Amino acid sequence: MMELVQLEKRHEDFARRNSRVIVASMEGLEDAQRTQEKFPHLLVLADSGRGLSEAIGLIDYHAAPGGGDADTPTTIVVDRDGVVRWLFRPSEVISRLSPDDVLKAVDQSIPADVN
Amino acid sequence: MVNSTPAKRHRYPGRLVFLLGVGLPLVGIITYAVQLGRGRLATPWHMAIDSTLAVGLLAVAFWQARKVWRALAFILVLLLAGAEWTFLVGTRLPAYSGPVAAGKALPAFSTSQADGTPFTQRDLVGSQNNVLVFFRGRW
Repeated sequence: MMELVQLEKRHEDFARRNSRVIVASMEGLEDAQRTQEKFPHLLVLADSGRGLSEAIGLIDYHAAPGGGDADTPTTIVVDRDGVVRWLFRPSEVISRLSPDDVLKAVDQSIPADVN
Repeated sequence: MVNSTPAKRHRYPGRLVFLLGVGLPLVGIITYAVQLGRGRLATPWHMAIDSTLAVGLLAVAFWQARKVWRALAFILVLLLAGAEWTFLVGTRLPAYSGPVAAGKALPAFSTSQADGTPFTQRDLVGSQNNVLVFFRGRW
């Protein structure tokens, strides 16, 4: 969740780049709603049905507490036409990109929208 | 008659090495805490490296003065270093091998927003760029 805190703090920097931050996990609506309340500038997806995680191939089986499945931490930059511009998966599960890293990726992969 | 002064013996031989050995893992942990506080979420390899160096230092300190508490410190830091390496190596992720690739549209999908509104790949097309961040969950 720490990465969400960081992304929320930098929401204006994303807005300046005409970019929306969408955060997704395999949790249900109730958890997603609580996350949405906590991070109002992020768009939270509740992917408990796995429609997104399976399509993209991100499920980390038995990775959640209790042996359940979870999304593999991954960041994908998609342009306004729905085309993927950049994908990042950390080499260790505890590693995350900082907001500066993500903003840099946006700047470099979609340079036309930098204001 | 030879007038010689006996060599002065250290009361605590290897004390500096011992203190360094005890302090290094703490420095690693504090550095990681500072790193997290500054929002840097990179893998803390330095922590395991610090602890491994500390194991070496504590082995030397124990060699210089075989005290019980030096042995205990050595064992504790050895366990700490082992746990850190096990955790870091055990959390390695395989390279991404799914269908998403730069220059291609995202595969079709259907999911929902937190308020229950449906959300598909068509919602990514519009006036804004999107950064999709997948996270583990609230736990």
